Amino acid sequence: MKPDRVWTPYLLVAPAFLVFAFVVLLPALLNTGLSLVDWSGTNQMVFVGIDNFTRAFRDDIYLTAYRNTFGYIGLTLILEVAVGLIMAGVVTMPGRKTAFYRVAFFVPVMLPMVVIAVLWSFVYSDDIGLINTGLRGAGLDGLAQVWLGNPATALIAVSVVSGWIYAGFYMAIFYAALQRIPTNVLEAAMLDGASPWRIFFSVKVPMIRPMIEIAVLLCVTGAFQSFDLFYVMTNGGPDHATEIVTTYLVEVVFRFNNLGYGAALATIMTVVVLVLGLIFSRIRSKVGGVDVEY
Amino acid sequence: MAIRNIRKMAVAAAAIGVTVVLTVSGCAPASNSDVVIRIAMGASGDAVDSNFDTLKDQYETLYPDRKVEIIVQEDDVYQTTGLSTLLSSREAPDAYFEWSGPRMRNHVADGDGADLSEYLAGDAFAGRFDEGAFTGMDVDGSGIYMVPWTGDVTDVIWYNKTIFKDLGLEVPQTWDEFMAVCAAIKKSGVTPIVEGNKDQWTVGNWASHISSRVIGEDVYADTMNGDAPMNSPAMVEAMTYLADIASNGYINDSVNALPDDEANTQFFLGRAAMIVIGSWLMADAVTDAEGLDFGYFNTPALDGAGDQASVLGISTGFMVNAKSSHIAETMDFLALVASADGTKLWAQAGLAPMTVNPFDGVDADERTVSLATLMSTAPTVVAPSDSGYNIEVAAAFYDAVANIIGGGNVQDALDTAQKRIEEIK
Repeated sequence: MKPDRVWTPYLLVAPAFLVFAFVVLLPALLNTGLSLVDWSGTNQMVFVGIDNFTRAFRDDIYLTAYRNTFGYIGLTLILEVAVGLIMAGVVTMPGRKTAFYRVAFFVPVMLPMVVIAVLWSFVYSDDIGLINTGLRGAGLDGLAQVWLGNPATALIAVSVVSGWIYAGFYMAIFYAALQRIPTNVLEAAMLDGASPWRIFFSVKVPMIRPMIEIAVLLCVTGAFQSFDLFYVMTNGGPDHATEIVTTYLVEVVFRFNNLGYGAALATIMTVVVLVLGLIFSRIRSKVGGVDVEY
Repeated sequence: MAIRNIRKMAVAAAAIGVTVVLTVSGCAPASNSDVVIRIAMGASGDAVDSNFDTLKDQYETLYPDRKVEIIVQEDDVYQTTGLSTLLSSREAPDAYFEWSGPRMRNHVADGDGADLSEYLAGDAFAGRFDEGAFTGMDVDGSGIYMVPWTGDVTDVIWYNKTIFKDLGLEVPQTWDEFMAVCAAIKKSGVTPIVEGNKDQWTVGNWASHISSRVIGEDVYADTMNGDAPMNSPAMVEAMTYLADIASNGYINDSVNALPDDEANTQFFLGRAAMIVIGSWLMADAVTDAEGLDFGYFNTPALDGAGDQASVLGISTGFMVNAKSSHIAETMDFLALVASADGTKLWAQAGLAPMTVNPFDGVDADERTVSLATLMSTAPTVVAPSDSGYNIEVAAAFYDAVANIIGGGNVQDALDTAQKRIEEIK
């Protein structure tokens, strides 16, 4: 059915577009404009063209922040999405009472991030931390580490905390998806003699693939939004081993008072996230983006 | 039935009305006619924070139509995001704590600092400060932009007297003696030095002091402004002193993971024999280290071109927001901060006030008095690189220092810092 007036569709879309323009497009455009100036926030702006961008591509710390962010993404895909998937599989196994575990796994998601960061800082503490105390108690003194102070272990240590928090979140998503799988499909597999694990990996996982893809996208984009965990636990250290784009942005803007350069770094990050989203979308459509309907 | 319902509704409406009125009146900070002045600062310990509450009460008694709002933020937050966020907010502070030097000058350049010369010359501040107290608080002679508050010795080496006595150790006068002391303490099974360098400024400050002693104060100033190379042979020599501390295991393994306040706690608990940090440790010690017998000594003499008796320090004070509508009222509050009674409060809380005769009639801790004397009689006072010079150069330097104290190669760390400084320029 065609609308009576030509502008009716535009009118209907206008509220949503205005909100989007006001909260996303306009700030992004203003930020891009800001990236072309040298400005401390209150002094006179000086137009510097693309100097801030060229500086960003020479800035070793900024590039290190990307390496760390991608490393963090890799680790959290395992520690959050994969572990969340396995947890969902375990709590949906037939014949098990799993309500307690479902709640327990989800509790960390509800705790304030700063509280978790402080709590885990004590867990990782060199002398009174649970991990080192446990290792020393077991006679494994050689394995005790300064987990957050060693550049080789700091990023992994923070990622483990991230996994501890968000694995429960992804478990909840996968749990909801797994509950939607028709029982007759599972019963057919069982009648064919498939083990619970075989059913999980060969039947359930393929059937919730769209949800897994969304989880991967959330995990990747979420990594670029991370900040508080890193800021409280390591503040980007030691030696920038846990510096991620957002912690460096805060340092540039608030410690160095360099809003123009900070805006350039934010603009580049926005482009990177958009490109990643497009690549993800392209891959999804190429490898068969047809959702399984059931 | 209907009447009963109407009554119920009336009672409910009245209850809601009373609740709203009480809530609103209870929440209201002041009547419309009241002047509210906001004072922002980083936390300096419970004793100091409660003293500001005392002064606020005094002020509100003296001026019944004015209110004071004290905004205290966690110290690191205040220095980084806190103050700048407050200054750009709609309810920006009327006065705020700041260090003298470049940070203060930046605020003035940004239009956030008022010239206070006229007020400081007035009756309220008459005779409260010596001329020297305003050093570093002017901008090219254009005016005075701070009410001086305290003089912080930014690093001394605090030591546990009991551990030293038990091991028969004396306060070291030279770096070699200092290393011998560290070796003896380590041999006894105690950690010689604990530092919380998670935010990089603690060891960074000490490294500033050591490098100024080795390369000389003028070259140090040039280096920290980015005008002399960070990776010069003299700087490598200076930072090798720190590298020796790390390679000999004289500092806690967790140095780069530990926050500064947790390092203080470890020192207070006697888990380490020494800690290198500023005079503000006294403010925490007043409440957290009862019974601990501890003293301090300045960084021992090194071989170098600088003054080996120099002190690393910086003055602090309160700036007044040039955009404030209540500058005169704010200065009345700061006059209380600088008054004889205010001075007593700060001295008793373990600070070293910059007012004249700060410890007169005060039962101040002898270490506090001694630190103030150390600062006021120092032949040379050197500013830490993150407070007195280019902040981005300081950040590159502190990265290198963190790397070195974590066991990294001195030359590589300084080369990396120099490369970064060249990119900044």
